[in-house]
Amino acid sequence: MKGENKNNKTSTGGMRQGASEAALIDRLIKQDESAFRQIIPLYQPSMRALALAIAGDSIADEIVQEAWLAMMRALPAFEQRSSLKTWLLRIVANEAKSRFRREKRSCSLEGLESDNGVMAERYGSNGHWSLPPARWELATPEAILSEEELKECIELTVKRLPPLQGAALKLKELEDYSSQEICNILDVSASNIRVLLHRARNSLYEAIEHFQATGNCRPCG
Amino acid sequence: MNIFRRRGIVDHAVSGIAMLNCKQVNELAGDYHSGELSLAKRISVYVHLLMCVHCRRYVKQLGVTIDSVKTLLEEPACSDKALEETISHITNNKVKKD
Ligand SMILES: [Zn+2]
Repeated sequence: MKGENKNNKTSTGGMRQGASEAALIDRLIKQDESAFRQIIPLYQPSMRALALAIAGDSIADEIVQEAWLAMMRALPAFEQRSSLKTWLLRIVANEAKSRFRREKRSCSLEGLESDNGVMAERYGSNGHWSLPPARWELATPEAILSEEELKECIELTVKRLPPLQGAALKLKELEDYSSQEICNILDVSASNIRVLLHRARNSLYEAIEHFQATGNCRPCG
Repeated sequence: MNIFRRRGIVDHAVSGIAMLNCKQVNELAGDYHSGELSLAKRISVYVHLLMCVHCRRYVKQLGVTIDSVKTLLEEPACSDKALEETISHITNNKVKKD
């Protein structure tokens, strides 16, 4: 068992699973336009964020539109083992991953090739810090985000994360999904999710620390 | 570990408590923030942080990192235009029927 409080969070975008969702699905299958109007504003921003993280800006919208159609085709067979939103994000992730593979075959989806993660070089062989963390001048989110160049640097770093690292980060930090749900959406093993998130967070940590020390942005250094 | 027992925390959780080195703390720090660590691991990290000023700083600043990113990642709401486009996209591509 992992976290004991992982079920405390509502990760279904404000819509409870169960009877009301079953009724909604029924209306969607009947192509009731008001049902579309209800869910599109709720789900589309998350779908777009996920498509963007995995496949990039130029085809994110296309992937989202494709996913809606795929949802409509598959909805009659949807068994509600997950929430509708989780299932829909899984469709988006699948579509985005296959588009990514088709178009950028040389790049890695996960970015886990090297054995050492980010920051590994900051520890000695005994596991103690060899290059300890510096004390940050800008020590709160407010202070950090008020520095325009640093803000841009963080955005750039997020953008340059390997696709599944960026996707896992968004699902976790933005959507509050548990690691187990992220496994389900991205179709990645639990241990890989842990590594993806760990590397993504450390890349951002390092970008902020490097910027504060030097005034320069070094995304994914 | 008596204090944990006194607080009624079960033995099997306490028995998983380990001495961590700094690098291991780094690996657990994100889940420490998101509350996804088992009790034993959470206590292990906590005990290390009591003793290690560097990791205390790292874990704190990682929390600041995560909170900053959370704010930055906020997605813009779905615009009316995007909503209408999606609706017409779905209805124009009806799976069966027409
Ligand atoms: Zn330490």
